[in-house]
Amino acid sequence: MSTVGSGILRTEAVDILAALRGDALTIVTMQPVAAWRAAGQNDDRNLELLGSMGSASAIALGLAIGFPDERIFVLDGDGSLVMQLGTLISIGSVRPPNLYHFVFENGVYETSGKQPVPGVITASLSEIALASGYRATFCVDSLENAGSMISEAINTEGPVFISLKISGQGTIKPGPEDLPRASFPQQIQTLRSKFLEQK
Amino acid sequence: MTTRSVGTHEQAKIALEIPAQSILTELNKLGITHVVTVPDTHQKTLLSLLQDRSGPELIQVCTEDEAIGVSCGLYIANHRPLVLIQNAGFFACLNSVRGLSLDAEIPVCMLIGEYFRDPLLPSRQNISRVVNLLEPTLQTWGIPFWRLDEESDVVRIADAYDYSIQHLCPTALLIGAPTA
Repeated sequence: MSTVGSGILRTEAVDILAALRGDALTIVTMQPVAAWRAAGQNDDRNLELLGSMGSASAIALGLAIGFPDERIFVLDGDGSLVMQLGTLISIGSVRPPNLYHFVFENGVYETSGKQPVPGVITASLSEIALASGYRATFCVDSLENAGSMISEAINTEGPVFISLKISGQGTIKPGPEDLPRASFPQQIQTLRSKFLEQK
Repeated sequence: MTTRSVGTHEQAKIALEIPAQSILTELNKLGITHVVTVPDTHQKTLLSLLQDRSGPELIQVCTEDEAIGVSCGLYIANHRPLVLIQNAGFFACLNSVRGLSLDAEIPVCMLIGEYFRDPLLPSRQNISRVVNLLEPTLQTWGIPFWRLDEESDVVRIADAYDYSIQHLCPTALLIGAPTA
């Protein structure tokens, strides 16, 4: 695991993820929501979880069990992950091979005034994930190695934990894609219908 | 907030043991695909049957918050999950119920054991708050509930489950006495 980089901008991480996403089902929460939207990823295979901080990875576990033939990407925040840290153990216990857990680690609760996330200095979420039963962890801490490392991560059998060391937000370009597509309840029913039609 | 009062069996009564097999038979009839649980002492005989894989797949998680989230993910994936927890756990996961089931309108049906209940007393007359606050909390939050206090009540599992799916909301089934 590399630890020498100085971090990566959130928009840079999102752009790389968007380029490598393919047809993965995604659930995005907290930090990356706006950038993911601006990158044109808020399509009908994406769920935007707002208003339930901490729950994205548990929903992703349900999706991974329920959609065994789909790749599931969860785009999580470090503050939200530590709210339900036990989910790492639940995921590590079930070990869904199709689950990829990206955690944007900026180390702070950004919207409330950048208070530090507990453990930002003392704890390693990657190491906790590995010790919980994830098959592999990756630490992306520089733009230089981000593409190759994320590419390798998503070609590894899951569950895989990818720590994205975020050094700043970057510039989110507003545009048509920046508009919300639908409410979360609508997104859910759309996704359900899409898969029911395929049955 | 609109408070529904669908709990049709709230009247004071004592609770009798319900055979776990009767509950499992109902779950199978309903086509329940997964039971997501943080183990409940009250329902240990049911959990034992589920562990034997004689019905829905049992998924055990660390916290009740996670149980709600996993159930929601399974629903989105067009499965028919049920959450099995105890009363103390229900109190622990209220914010997830609020965010995911009430606000995001994802159906969640919860089988809740009334741990610590004296089954000879009606739920609200029990001295323990973990028991006597359950029904009032459900009512305050507008979460419809049905009581399972004797074997013939198992038909209410379908009522609660169907209500949750039709109205895109949480529902609860309260198990008054330990399952047999």
